[in-house]
Amino acid sequence: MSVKVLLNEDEIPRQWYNLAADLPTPLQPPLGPDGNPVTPEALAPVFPMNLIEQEVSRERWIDIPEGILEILYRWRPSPLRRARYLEKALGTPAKIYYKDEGTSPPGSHKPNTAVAQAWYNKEFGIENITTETGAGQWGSALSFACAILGLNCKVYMVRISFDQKPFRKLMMNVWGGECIASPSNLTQAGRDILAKDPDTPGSLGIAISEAIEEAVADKTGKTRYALGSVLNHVMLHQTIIGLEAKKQLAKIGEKKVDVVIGCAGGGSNFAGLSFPFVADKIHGAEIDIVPVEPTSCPTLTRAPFSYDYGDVAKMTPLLPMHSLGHEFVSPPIHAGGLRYHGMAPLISQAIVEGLLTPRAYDQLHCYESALLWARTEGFIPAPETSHAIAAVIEEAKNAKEEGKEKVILFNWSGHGLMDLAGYENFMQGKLIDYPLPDDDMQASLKSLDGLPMPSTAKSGKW
Amino acid sequence: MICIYKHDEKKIRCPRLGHPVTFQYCRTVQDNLPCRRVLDCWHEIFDVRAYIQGFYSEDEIDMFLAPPEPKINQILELINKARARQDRTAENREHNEEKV
Repeated sequence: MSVKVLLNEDEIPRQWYNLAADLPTPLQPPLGPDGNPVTPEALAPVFPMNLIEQEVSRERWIDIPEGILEILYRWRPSPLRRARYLEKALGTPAKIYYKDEGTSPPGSHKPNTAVAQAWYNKEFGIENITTETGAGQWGSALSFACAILGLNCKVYMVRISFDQKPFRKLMMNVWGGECIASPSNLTQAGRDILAKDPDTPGSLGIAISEAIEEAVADKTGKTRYALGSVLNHVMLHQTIIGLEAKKQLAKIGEKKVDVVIGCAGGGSNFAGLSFPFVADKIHGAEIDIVPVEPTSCPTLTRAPFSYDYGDVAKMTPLLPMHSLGHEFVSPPIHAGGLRYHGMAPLISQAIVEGLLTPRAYDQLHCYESALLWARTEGFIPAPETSHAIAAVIEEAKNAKEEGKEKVILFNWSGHGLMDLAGYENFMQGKLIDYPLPDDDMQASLKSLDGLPMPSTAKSGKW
Repeated sequence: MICIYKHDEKKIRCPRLGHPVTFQYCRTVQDNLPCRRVLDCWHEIFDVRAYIQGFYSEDEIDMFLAPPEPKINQILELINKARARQDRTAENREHNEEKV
């Protein structure tokens, strides 16, 4: 009984897929405070132009340079696994597959973009890369990538984490990364904070300020900043996940995927697996593509598509997105990564087109699903991943009722071994659901009154 | 009347940092205001909503519970702030040199 599908190195995808090229209605740009689109030049102080070009690119396929592939071969192609034990427990005719992104040297999907970003920086003549990190997962991924490419990596790590998480700091050091406790005396941002409070434990906001200042202040022009989530070029680099999955499914004779599922948090996890399948759908394939979110923060399932500010103070550019209004404050739930009031513009546009069919689940239902998964497949999922698993189980049960042998695919976005307190609270009956009441949502939506509405033109195909 | 420091020694795992932190950290992390996730993380440990309403004004609560702005906009804002700090530092240096 096979539970793993592997690809040889010479079968690795050689291009990334850019969804922006195929959206039937073009992606609407982020707007600056003056109401005009943000320009590539505005980002040039912190990103090399070759990555900015990817950020704004509308090319469908972008070649993965051989130099990047040679590094990715260390762990890629990653395994595609089949959840046969869950299938058996559910008695479903559905076939459930998941992509395992935990096999890289730092142990997450983050090196997929860390390696690419470091490589492009080096090509652009950059010698030093800065970033910020909390517990150190992104910092260690970037340190690993810089070590392989011979770049200097400076990671501003929140001081409280620096003091409490010596092992991640040591991981960075082993890979040659310089890990600095933030705030530091190396930047004016850090010095200003320390002057006010020498004993401050720091924060992610201070750490990113220091990392960006380091890039902006380097008069030699040899320093840039790197980010591990959210941006278009990060999602682009992650599409290797979905492209590999397609090859793996084809290798075992799966000609058609019926459902692709991912939790919709920062975006790169969902986008990395799903965007290559969105391309198939645009070109005629019948696939349900499902971003999953919590019912307590129903950005995709209940919020309108609008231009909105990113902040209550209305200081930031207006972005076209699904939004509950910038005054929305999410109720408390455990899947912290899913609690954003807006969604990535690329994903919002795909929803407007009808290419994605978002769903929302209660957290109790998600924990029940996570327990079933852990007691059949063995792995304990992160709270965010449990939202995707809830959707997978629902689909598998539907397939049983319908007597259909559906093929279901999702991205295993991480284990929950650092989130066991949530499991404990659930098992002790301490958690409650927080569905967003209609009255609360209508009150929040009032903050959108008077803002411009983006085009909701769509092809009408889906 | 409860003291603002009453819960400072309590500990919880921070989902952003990935390790335990005290409530004191969560209470002060945003320039001496609470973290925007403070209700999310602490509601099972004590009545954090009542605590917040007891010690912070509505304006302060709106400020620290505000959702994060999109990353690209945060970056643009930080670039501008970094440039402003550089300009300020350069002005101070010139000012000091003139004095000398």
